Parts: sequence; C-alpha cells; structure tokens
Amino acid sequence: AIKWPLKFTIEGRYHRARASTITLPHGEVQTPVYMPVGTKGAIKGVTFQQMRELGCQILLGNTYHLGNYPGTEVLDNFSGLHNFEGWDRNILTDSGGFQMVSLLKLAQITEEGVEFESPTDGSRMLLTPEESMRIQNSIGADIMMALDDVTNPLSTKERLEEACHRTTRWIDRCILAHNPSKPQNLFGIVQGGLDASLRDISLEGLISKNLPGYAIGGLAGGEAKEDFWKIVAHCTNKLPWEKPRYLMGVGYPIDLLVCSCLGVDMFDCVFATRTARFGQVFTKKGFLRLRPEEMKSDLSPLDESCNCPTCIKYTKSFLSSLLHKEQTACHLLSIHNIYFLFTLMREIREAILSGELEEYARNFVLEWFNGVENVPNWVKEALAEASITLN
Amino acid sequence: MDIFFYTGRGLPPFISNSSFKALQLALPHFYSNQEIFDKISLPEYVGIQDSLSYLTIRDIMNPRCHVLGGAKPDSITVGIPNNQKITIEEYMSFVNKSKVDIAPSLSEEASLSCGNHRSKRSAKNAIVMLDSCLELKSPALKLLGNIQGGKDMESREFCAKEMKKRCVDGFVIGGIDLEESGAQLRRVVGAVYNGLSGDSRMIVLSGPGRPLDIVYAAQHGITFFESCWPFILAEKGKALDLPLVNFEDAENIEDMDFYEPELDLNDEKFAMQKGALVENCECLTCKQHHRGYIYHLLRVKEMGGNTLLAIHNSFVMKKLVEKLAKAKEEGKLGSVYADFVNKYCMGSFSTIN
Ligand SMILES: [Zn+2]
Ligand SMILES: [Zn+2]
Repeated sequence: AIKWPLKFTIEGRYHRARASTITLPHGEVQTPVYMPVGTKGAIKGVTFQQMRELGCQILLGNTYHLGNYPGTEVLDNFSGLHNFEGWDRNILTDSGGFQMVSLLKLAQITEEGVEFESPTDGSRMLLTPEESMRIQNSIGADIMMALDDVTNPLSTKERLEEACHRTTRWIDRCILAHNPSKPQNLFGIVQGGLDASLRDISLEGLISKNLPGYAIGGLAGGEAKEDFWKIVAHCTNKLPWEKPRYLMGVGYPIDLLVCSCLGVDMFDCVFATRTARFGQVFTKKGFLRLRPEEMKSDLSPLDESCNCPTCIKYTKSFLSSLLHKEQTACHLLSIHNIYFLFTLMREIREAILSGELEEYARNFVLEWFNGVENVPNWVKEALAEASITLN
Repeated sequence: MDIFFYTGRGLPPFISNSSFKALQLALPHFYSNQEIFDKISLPEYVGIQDSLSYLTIRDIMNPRCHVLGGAKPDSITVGIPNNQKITIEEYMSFVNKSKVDIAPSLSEEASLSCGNHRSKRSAKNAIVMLDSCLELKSPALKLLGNIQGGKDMESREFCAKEMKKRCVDGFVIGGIDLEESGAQLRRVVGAVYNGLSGDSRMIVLSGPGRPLDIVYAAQHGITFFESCWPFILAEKGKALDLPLVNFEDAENIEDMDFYEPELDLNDEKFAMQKGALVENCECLTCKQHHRGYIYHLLRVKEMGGNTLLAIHNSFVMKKLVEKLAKAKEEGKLGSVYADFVNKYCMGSFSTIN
C-alpha cells in the first residue's frame, strides 16, 4: 500500500463539525479552510505575496488549464508548479475532468476516459485517468484529485450508477499510474448525484481504497438547497472521521458555514473573485453590490467590521468610482472577499475549538439574513442536523 | 529627488498595494464629485495620505485628456469627462479643499507638437494665470509655476524667468506628452534650466518619465519627475533592463537618439528561462519569480504578469532616482548622463538572456 504524505490531526469537534490541522508537503493547513482558485497559475490580479500576507495556506490550480499552458514540458523544466509560479505553500489540483465537461460542449465520457474535440484544431483528444495523473504529477500538487466520471445530477439513474462504478474503477487506474517525483496525495471524489443510495455505492467503493482524503463532488450545480445539504450530510456521515473531507466548488459564505457545521473540512470556489469583478462583495449583512451613483458620497468601508487591506484604506465612494474603469478595483474587491472567507473560516475554527460554534453560527446566520424570520428552511434544517438551533 | 508615479484615479496601473512615496492624482477624475472633499481630503480619499500627493491637470495616459486654453487667461477646458471648462477661481477652490500637497498653477497644456502661436500664447497666459492662482492659494498648498511654451525655446526660457520672480514653491515643466522623449525634450529642459539659472526650489518634469530623460533632467537641476513609463512598459509585457551598476565616461551626445534597454517578455525564448528579470534586482518580482512564469502569465492573458512587470519597472525607476540623488549629493552629477548613455543606451547589450 502507498504511504501518503498527509497527516490529519483533529484538534476539536462540535457535534459533527471538526477543527483540524492537515500537514502536507508544503506546510500545515488549518481547517475548516477556504482555498482560493488560481486557475492558470495566478489569482486574478492578486500577487502571491499578497496571498501570503492574507494568511493563505493552500491554493487551487486547474489541471486542464495548466496542462494546456504552460504544459508539462515547461512544468517539468521548472520542477513543478510551486517553483514555476513562486508559491512555497500548498497546492491542490483538480483532475481536469470537470473543467472539460463544463468547458467543452463536445466532451463525451467512455470507459477509456473523457473524450473531446481539441478546441484548437478539432482533432479527437482523450483525457484518461493516466493522462490526468501524468499532468498532476508534473504539476506536483500536494493534493491531486482522481479523475472522476462527471455527470449531471439530473441524468438517468442508470447513467448515474455507471458514473459511480466507473469513478471507482478509475481510482485504481489513477493509483497505478501515480508516478510522483515528489511527495503527493491523491483524493477520491464521491459521486452519485442527489440519490443517497448511489452515493452509498460510490462511498463504499472509494473508502475501500484507503485514500488520504475524500471529496464530495457533483454538487453546487444548481440543485435545490434541500437536496444539497442532505447529500453533504449523508456523505460526511459515512466518510471516515479520521480523514479530511473536501466539498468541491462551494463558496457562498452561508454554505461554508452550514457545511463546516456538517463536518466538511475543505472548500474551493471561484465565486469570491468572480463576483468581485462584477462589483459584488460579501459583508456580514449579506451581499453588497457597488453602485457608483448611489454611493458617490458614502464614506463608509465595504464592511464596518472588516479589517482587510481594502476596508482599512478605502470607502465605498472611492471603490465604486473605480468600478469598470480601473482593473485594480476588482483586485481590491477580490482581496476583501478572500479575506472575508478566510476570516469566516478562522472564526468557525475558533468557535469549534472553544465549544461556541452554536452561538457563532446563530449570530452569523441571523446577521446574514437580517432576522430569524428571513432564514431559509434549509439552513435551519441543516444546522439542526448539526445540533445547532437558531433560537 | 523623487518620482511622482502615475495614477489616474489614485491607484497606479496593475498595482493594488503600492507603497510609493510620491504619487500623481489627475484632477479630471475627481472634479465632478468634489463636494466629497468637504468631508475628506483627496489624498485620504484615495488612500495615499502617507505619500506626497501631486495634482496634475490632465491624465497623461488618457488620450482624450487634452487641456486647452483660449485667448483670455482666465480658464481652461479639460477633455474628460466631457470638455469641462474650469476657471481659475474654480480650480483653486478645488485644489485648496482637496488638500493635495502640491499642485501646478492653472494653464493650458501646450505640447511640443503644437504650433508657434499656441506655444507663445501658452507661456504668456501661464504667467498671468500663475499670479491669479497665487492670490487664491491656501497657505498649506505648495503651488508650482506651470512653465509652458510648447517647443518654442524662447517662450520656455521667458516663462521660466518670469516665474522665477514669483513667490512660488517650485516649478513644473508642463506640456510634455506621453510620446515625447529625446532631443527636443532635452532642449526644452535646457531652455528652462537657463531661465531658472540655479534656482533651488523644486522643479518637476512632466511627461512619461523615461529613464534617459530623467537622467538628463537631473543633471539640469530637475529634482522631481512624473513617471508613467514603468506601467506603459508593463502593459506591453516589457521589463526595464537596467542593472544600475556604476555609470562611467563621457562625450557630447545630447542631440543623439538612444534607446533604453528593455526585455520583451512576450518573446517565446523566455518560456523556459529561470531566474530574475534582471540579475541581482532586489524587487519582489525578481526575488520571487522566474522569467518563464511571467512569459506564461502574459501568454494566458493573466493580469498578474503585468502586475509583476509593473512592480519590477517601478522599482528600477526608484533605484535610478536614488542613484541620481546620491550622485548629486556627492557632486558627481556632472557627467552622469553621458555615463548612462554609454553604459546602457548605445549599441548592443549583453543581457543575461
Ligand atoms: Zn474588507
Ligand atoms: Zn526586478
């Protein structure tokens, strides 16, 4: 059996929620953790120096994009992505499968792998588990994701079941193809759409592989929130307690809170930086959209309680005046949003460690929705599942 | 001696956490929302209250931002947002309440490419308008005589001589456009140098602030420089390639054309290259990133590439001016321009490609 270079230490729990430290080849990661996404080897306009200063311990990279540019020849030449981009902390890469299926309309999945037409010359290309591992080994991420059979949760039951079994079969091919030149971990991805029995098939198949960690995939695709949280709860209930759990593609503040309470340790999402580009930021009181005309004379910061580099220095009036005029404006908003999520995760962690998660979650939810009467049912139910009530 | 790095609306291009000691702020971007400066100063509003703030009447990087005057020396019209007419009273009221540290007197901008008539008129009117500005200025403001005259050397020298007699805090050589560099610009600097003849007040050179022009101007008594050049290059994917070791030896080269060494990071030859943009450069970019990485970011159109180049380029400019200041202190400024040209701007370079 492979000895994976990952140490997982749970330091505190509050019912289903946990606060832990994941020790990886490039340092420790305190959980629950939000991982910003550096798709092509950079976080939109924010330098890695700024990311370090914000306290970021782990970043995401996209295998599909990095495999295209700079490509494995360049990555090998620089001995991997860490050295290439000048980031000495941890990196997690996706398998490339999801990116393909969502970016390329012509992708098709067969037992061999994900088949697609080259966006450049239209020729037939194939991303197999072996190819995904080859690229991820070349990138040298601290955590790699195994290629999974990505399916729309609304597909037929047969198709979804096939995806579960295939994902499990592909894990074996991934492990077999794993040929690292430096210490790397491989996580498996639980599939099964919104059907608990299918999730069980997937869970059973993956857990038997004794991987260092597991991801919950196939969510955050526009499904009903009731379905979403129930599947998360179902998976965290059955995943091994002593291994990290990663919920893929989830990044709304309220989802991070609820799913942390349900026992998820890791999250990633492009939403924080993407929404910043459209002038939208997180505040404790919910989303705030910058409106230049309305905010002309507003000298308050984005969020009164925020201590990020943007809020310390700038007013809504100034920031909104820059919107769509200065590219750096969206950097300032991105920094605020990333800082907001880092702070949220740090506070959740502290609340778990001090045994005050219920109080913390309650305050956060009531402020975010502005009163208990506005809190959606799914939030109440999900938190109740985590033994947290709002009253 | 220092550089006023360019900003339009308060942020230098590509850099969201600058720590520049001196910065430009372009009036047209703040003029229409000026009521807000009753409550907060302009430097505080844009978050640069710890730096030296310097107001410019135009936004040099905005091609529509011309600053036109008329026959009567009482107002100007600024191209953006839509040909805003500003009188001397309005201008000084804005300047006083914005609480910037330094501002030029109001004047039209007569560039080196404008005609004789406008060149002459701009100089004469600039002097009259300076007198009106002086009457209206608040004590805290450092007001600079805005030396105009276009490409007419007599007008430039005359304008400088007249302004030298006024009780101003310094001078700015105005009307230098983004494209302006080289021999004609050096002649303007020379004319103003003659006109001011050894005045010890601060003198600012407007314009793109290219390295060679700054070195020349420093030798001619200029102490402050506007500069947007680091960002212009960064936008094109280029890095200033000035290792800034000692300059040496001289000859008469003032009328010649030279180029400043730069690396074009769009070139595929950088794809595999490890190491700093410029060997031994101590900027954040060079200390933490490879050439190949910057090439990659430019190739996939990630703005991070421009950001890292802007950081390097502005660092090099800052070091250059520190070097000039030191040379001045040691009384060695005399042959610095020739040394600089010989060292960096002639023939081929053995860079660390
Ligand atoms: Zn903030
Ligand atoms: Zn450098």
